[in-house]
Amino acid sequence: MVETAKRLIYAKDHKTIEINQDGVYRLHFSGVQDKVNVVIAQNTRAFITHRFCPRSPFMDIDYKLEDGAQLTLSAFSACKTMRADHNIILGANSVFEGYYGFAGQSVQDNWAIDLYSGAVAKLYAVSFCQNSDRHAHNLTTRQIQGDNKVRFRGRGVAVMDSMCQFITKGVINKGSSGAYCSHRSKILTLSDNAKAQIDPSLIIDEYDVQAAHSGSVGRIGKDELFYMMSRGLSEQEVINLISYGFLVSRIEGFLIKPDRLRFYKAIKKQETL
Amino acid sequence: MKKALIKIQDLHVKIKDKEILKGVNLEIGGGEIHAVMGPNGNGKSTLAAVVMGSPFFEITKGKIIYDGVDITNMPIDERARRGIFLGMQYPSEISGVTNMQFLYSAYNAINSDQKISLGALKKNVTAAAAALEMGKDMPNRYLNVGFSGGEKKRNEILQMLMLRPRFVMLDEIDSGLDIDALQTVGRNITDYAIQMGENAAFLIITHYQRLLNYVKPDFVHVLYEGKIAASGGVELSLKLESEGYEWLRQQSV
Repeated sequence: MVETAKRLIYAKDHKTIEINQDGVYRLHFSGVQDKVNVVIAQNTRAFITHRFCPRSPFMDIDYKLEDGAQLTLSAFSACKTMRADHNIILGANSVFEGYYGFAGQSVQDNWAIDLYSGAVAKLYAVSFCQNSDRHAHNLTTRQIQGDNKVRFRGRGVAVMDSMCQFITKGVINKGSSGAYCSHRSKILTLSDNAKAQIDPSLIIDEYDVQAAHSGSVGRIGKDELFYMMSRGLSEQEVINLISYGFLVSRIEGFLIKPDRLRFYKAIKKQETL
Repeated sequence: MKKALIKIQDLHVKIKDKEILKGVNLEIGGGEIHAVMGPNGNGKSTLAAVVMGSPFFEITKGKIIYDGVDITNMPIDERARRGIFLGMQYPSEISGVTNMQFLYSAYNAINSDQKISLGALKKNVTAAAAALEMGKDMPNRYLNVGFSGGEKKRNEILQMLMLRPRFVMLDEIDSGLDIDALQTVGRNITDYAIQMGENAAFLIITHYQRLLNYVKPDFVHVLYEGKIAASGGVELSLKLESEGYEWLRQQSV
């Protein structure tokens, strides 16, 4: 489990935040349109949680990791409307891990990640969509130099009339030999009207690389439903449990406790499909 | 015959246009263990699934009475909450949901008036898992994911021990078990049956006599061509073991 944040930073108070000490930070977005640049200094390790205020529907955040820096980012947002633009530049041998959960009504989640030599990026984005929610996740990774790694895992659950979307693009530039890129997205649709879209693409301009992408959309099988209901769980309880397992269990180890609980509650409170 | 805990009356079941059960009659009293044997594809698993409320089959005629209540059209989860349990031949694998989360949710769904804390249940699960000689990591593993055939069957028995049902159906619980595991599972079923006494009844579906060496049945039935074709005591299972089903086929002709 993650530590409690030792430093609280309000994004609206800063244009640029420089982090040059290892530690746990909490970045609070409370403005109408917060825009901030965060620089993680060379060889510094930072764990940052994002906290959103419902009055902050738009955030634009640039992270720059200098050579050898490490950043772990986690967040959960249940804001009604949210647009988050993340632009991340990973210097040589830097490491980025992101764990993001969403359960709002309208989510536009955009990521652009550039990797230089030896950098590693791992991103988990999970979405729980209900009622008429619309969640769109767009990811572009650009492997500019070689021997770097990208691993993206997107997961969504769509119930009722909601829609979940993952559009991912992996670009491997010329001169990026030894690069590895994997984009995988999965969406569970739990009602007839729920919609899902996964659109993965790869643009590869180098020979000596490994790249893969996949997308799958499915429903809870009748066998699984029968099995779990035969142990006394109602259909709704089964759906809650599976949604929790499919989404929250993937990132809960990296969410702070209040975020974990809020995510769990968001799943549990849905009443009918 | 003791007071019947479950009564299956003239049960006819079909899947799509194929009739599988063609008039099954069976009564199982509290404290009794019944074994059901029979060739493949004659309706044994269907019978258990239908009693559990499986949505894959259609009951065209007949009734299932459990504890005096007609459950023929009752939802699956309500049957389970009333104490019916089916240890499945092929338990589903559920990724992302741990054994412990599942057991905790199921236990509290069944015992909604006497809910248990996660810590207390975990203690019970750990003890029962040890008795079943299951790995210590079992509570934290995803439900049946990556389990061997034998582990899945032990896990079904573990769920039975935790949920404490009154009518237990075990569908080929012996398949996939090695000799030692069979003995362990058999011992746990028998211990549970003794503990529950007349409060529980068992229907054990099997192809082989070997499980019945550890779980002694009071009655043995042969399900053949969708009907109970023969009933008797342990001697019937011994006869099947030595002679097979040819005599039944000839009898049928």
